[in-house]
Amino acid sequence: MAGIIHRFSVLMDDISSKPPARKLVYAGAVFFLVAFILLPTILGITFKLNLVSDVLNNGELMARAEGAIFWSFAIAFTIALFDLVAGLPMAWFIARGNSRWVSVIDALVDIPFVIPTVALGFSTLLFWTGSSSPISFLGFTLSPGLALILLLHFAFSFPVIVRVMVGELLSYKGVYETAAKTLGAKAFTVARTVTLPILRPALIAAFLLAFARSLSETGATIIVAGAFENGPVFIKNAKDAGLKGPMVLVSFTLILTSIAVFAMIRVLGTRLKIPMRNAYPRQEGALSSRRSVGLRDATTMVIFLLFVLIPSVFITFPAIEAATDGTLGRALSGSGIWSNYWQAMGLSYLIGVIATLINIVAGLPVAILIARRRLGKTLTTLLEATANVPIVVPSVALGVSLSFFWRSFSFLPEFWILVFAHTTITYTYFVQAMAASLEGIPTEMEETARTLGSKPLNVFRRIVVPLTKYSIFSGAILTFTRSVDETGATTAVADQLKTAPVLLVSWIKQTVPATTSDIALGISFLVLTSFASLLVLRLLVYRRR
Amino acid sequence: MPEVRLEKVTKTYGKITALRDASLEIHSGEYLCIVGPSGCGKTTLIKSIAGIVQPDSGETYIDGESVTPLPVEDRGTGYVFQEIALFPHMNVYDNVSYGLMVKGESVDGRRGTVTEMLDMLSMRGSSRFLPSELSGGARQKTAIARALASGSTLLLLDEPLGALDFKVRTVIRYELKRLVKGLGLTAVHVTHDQEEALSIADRIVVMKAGRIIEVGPPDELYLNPRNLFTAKFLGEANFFACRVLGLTGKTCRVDAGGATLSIKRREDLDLKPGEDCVVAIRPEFVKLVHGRWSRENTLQGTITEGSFLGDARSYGVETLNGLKAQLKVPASEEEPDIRVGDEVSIVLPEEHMLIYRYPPEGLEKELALE
Amino acid sequence: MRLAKRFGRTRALEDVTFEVKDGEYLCVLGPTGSGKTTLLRLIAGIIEPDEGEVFMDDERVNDVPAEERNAVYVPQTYALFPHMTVLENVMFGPEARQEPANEAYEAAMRVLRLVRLDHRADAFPNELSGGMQQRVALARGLATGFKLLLLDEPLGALDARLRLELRGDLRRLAKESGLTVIHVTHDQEEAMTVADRILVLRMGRVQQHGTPFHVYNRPENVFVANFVGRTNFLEGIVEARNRERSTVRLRGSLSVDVADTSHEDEEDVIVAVREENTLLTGDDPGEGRNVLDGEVTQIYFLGAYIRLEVRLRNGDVVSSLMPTDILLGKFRVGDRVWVSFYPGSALVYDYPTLGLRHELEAY
Repeated sequence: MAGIIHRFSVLMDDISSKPPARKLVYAGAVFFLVAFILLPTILGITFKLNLVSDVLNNGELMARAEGAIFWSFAIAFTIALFDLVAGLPMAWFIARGNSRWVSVIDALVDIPFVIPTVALGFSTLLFWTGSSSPISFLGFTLSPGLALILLLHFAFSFPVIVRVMVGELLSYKGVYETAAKTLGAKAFTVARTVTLPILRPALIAAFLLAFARSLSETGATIIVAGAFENGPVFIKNAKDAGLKGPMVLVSFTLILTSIAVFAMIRVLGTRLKIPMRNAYPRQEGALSSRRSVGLRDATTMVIFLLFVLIPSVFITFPAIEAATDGTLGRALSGSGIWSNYWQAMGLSYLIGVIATLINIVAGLPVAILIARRRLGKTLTTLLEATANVPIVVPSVALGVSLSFFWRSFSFLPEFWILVFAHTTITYTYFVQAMAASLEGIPTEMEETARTLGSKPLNVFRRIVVPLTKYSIFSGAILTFTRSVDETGATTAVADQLKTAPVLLVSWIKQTVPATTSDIALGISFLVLTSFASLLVLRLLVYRRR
Repeated sequence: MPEVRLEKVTKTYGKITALRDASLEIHSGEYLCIVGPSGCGKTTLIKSIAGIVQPDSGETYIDGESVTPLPVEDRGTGYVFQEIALFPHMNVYDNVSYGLMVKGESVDGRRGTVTEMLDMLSMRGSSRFLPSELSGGARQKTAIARALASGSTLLLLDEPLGALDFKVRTVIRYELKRLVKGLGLTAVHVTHDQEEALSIADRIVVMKAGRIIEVGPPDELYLNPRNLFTAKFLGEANFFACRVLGLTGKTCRVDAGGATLSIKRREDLDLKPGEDCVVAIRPEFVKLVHGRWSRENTLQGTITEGSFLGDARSYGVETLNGLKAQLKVPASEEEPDIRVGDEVSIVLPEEHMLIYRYPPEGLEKELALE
Repeated sequence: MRLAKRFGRTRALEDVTFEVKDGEYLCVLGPTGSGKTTLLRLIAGIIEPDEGEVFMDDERVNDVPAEERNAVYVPQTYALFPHMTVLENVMFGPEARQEPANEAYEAAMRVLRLVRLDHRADAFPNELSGGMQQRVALARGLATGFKLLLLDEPLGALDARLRLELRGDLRRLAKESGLTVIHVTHDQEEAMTVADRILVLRMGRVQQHGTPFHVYNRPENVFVANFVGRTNFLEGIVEARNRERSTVRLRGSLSVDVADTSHEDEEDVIVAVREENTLLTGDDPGEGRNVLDGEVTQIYFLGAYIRLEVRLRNGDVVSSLMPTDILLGKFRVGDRVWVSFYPGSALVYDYPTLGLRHELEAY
């Protein structure tokens, strides 16, 4: 047996030496990207463009559609800006701070990011509007709507900014800051004139990620929206009402405008100049003093706790209650609404696993092409942009397009349509994670290995994989978690099947009779599994360090 | 202009002691070079003068005032980094004017000093370029201009010529010294290239494993190094393990593998007969003679290897009593008449021989560069 | 193993043609950006030439992939595999070529003993010093049994002093193992010490190819004369010629005799004299050809040598390099001195079309 495996691997190694074989593998991966990811996204919606005519004549629907689109972008932009302003000081605290709280805060900041958005939405709802909401003590209450959406989006985009900026601050060479200090610059001046300008690409990237997240999020937004409509909420409402036209119109517009807005921000962002012609030593010295820094940190913490952390974990209270009031028993025995729940969970996991596996196999060659720039500058940029389409486009719009595309193949069961949708949405996560980590391996290493007599596949097996295996794992886990969490596209695609998050949304919206305890518990199970996989991720990352 | 004093400065990183009780006096207006193998602590030393590294113990004084509690931005030292560290998002002009800008000088106020600095380093024409558009040498000069333009009178340079090609380095190092002296600054220049230090330093500090081994002017440290490691690190040397036979007047006689050698006695070294010692001589001071001669300080042997170095030839000789020596002979333009296998004698002139106590940890360990 | 190459216009190399003999130690010498690394990578098979051919043992290898060229490539950073121990790194080559595990182990240990690192076989690369890492990289290459070694600045990452020590080891190792080596460097002292022959490159073109003796004593152009060794350059015009000598008129009507007759009367030339071939005296030797008087402007102590810069009467600056025990304490800045040289020590070149400055810039 070992002999057969050995001979097989030798054969594969030899094949890998021949350029045509390698080209075939890469071509296959690119074909997959274009045929399964890019085209369905674009074509699905274009097939059904004729349905739009219904809407264009309906004044009321048009007004609603326009409003929804406008608000999607307005909210996303505002939120990204607020989060950038609030998140930067936090990132500084974590990356540069000396207090012993740093690692604690570092872990806490991730929470709104790792909790499934359904949980986030419900928790936010309870915190700001529920009968036991702490706000009610202040004398007024909030109700579902725009304000709540803003609070929710602020909370879940905050960690995005912080994570990106912390990563950048930690990895970027501190020697520039030291150089500035030897020239006499105080801390604030250094940050303004050296650190931030150098990190400008990271700032833009962080902004865009927060922007994308806000634009795309569906599940939680639906929960807190009430009567308000942004893009995703409108599409869901249209679907529930069976109106295909509005769905197509808004999805189509969202897809086009989001791609355009992204490109525009990218380009304009590089021209943005942070003022640094002059310095004000006295004032900036005061801003760099320990007292100023302390004040800044304190404010940041208060904002973080009040607007981000507590609203996100508020659900623990009803969850604990649910564990003791008998709901747990019903849940585990699968009685009543719970029978569907476990089915939904099983479906979510199955789809997650399959989507992840497909992405690993199809995404790795593309990641290699991007990281090693084998196709030359223009083609590589094009490839990268194509691979990024799934995150740029709001997932619900993506779902609408994919749904129309795949359903035209009437022999395809809904399960597989869901799998393709999830694969498409999570594709970019894996490819980006892999490309970044591959870029960290100097090409010299592979070249030297080859000159030592090793065929390309052997180089890949013995050099590249061991050095990137942590990234392969984390990419896989991120992909899997994202898939399990996915609500937007699934809402658009699924008719009969329900994944766990979609089921929970229906519970919350009371389309299925569920008590608060039911909901809290259901969400908790989902959260626990997310936590488990992300814990594994963190352990892997820390072990590496 | 300033003078600097370090008193017993110590710095440890976990198990590694980067600096051990370093004490040093740097004179006003001096061009001081610090040399030593990788990891000897030379970079940690200047980083602690600049305040980039906080010592665990010890005091640092600039012009008599203790600067130990002051943070980097308040010490007023100009620093040139090994990685050059030009601000990548600013052009040459903005990089060089940064030090002045930070002090609150207006755009107009800065212009004069900056242009003067750029002119001095012949960088005026490149003032609009970004660092990524410059050659290594141009970047190096910009980094130096930046440190100078900030108005500091104490310049700390960490391998300032490290990024340059061999040939370019040998030319620019003199320009650097000329510039610094012309401005009347005190400079501390760290380098791993001992030839560089020998050619431009007023004084050289030799370091090893966190300690300051020896300090002195280049010719003294080269011709009369008091410490064994200094003899090894600055230039090249032959080392022979010997035993002291006797001391008379100004001479010391030692037994080198059976042969007797006479060496000029050192007043600061109290050697006793029977003690183990080490004797050293630089390759260029060993004289080569054809044939076998028996004379004072002459050993007989055979040529084992020879190579052409351009302006000199180097030969390896193995003596009859088992000692191995390298020697350097100025080259002529004809092919030499010395071949491998020839019988020769090497003369070790008394005035060029150096003597040291045998190191307690053994000769090889003491001379190790890593 | 014989190697011949003919390249056309790549971005980095232009019409490079040369041969390396079996067992030869060749140094490719040139400033940064001269194309040396590109050359090495072309030979290794990592990149392809736009034009031209590479032959190994008379066989054309342009289409042979890197893993089959039987040439070991060691980049400047060594590229040791960080996740493998020293032993695993060294065994990588033999294993990749399907050698049985025990034979690969034997070969690896043998080579590690050769570089004196057998006692560190279980260490990881990041636990070793720079010099040790370099030896592991060499051992890894040697274990493959390939006879051609391609080294890109093998000593570049090391301390200057360490470099001095390890140069000899490198050559010794190569000769003992019967290898053909192509060693790229920008350090001309290094090249002179270790090479059997030197190939000088500048901006992608071959400037000279010969033994160290040949390159040093008969540099073919101003660039080589400047890049290798320390040289004085004086601008002048040929004034007179006879069968053995020419007379060159320098600036300010100083004249010197040179043992070169290949240049015509009235031709613009450059006279080059090695710094160590100048003779210096503080006493007026009276009238004579090739005796130039001037004033000492700088004195540099270089350890084994002392270098004096002298400004001549006509404004030209000449440097003189002499062993320390001859010059020490003899002169002071400001002293009047007389610099002379033998006509046979001078080399004469055509005045460069792009000007002297351009040729002296080391790029």
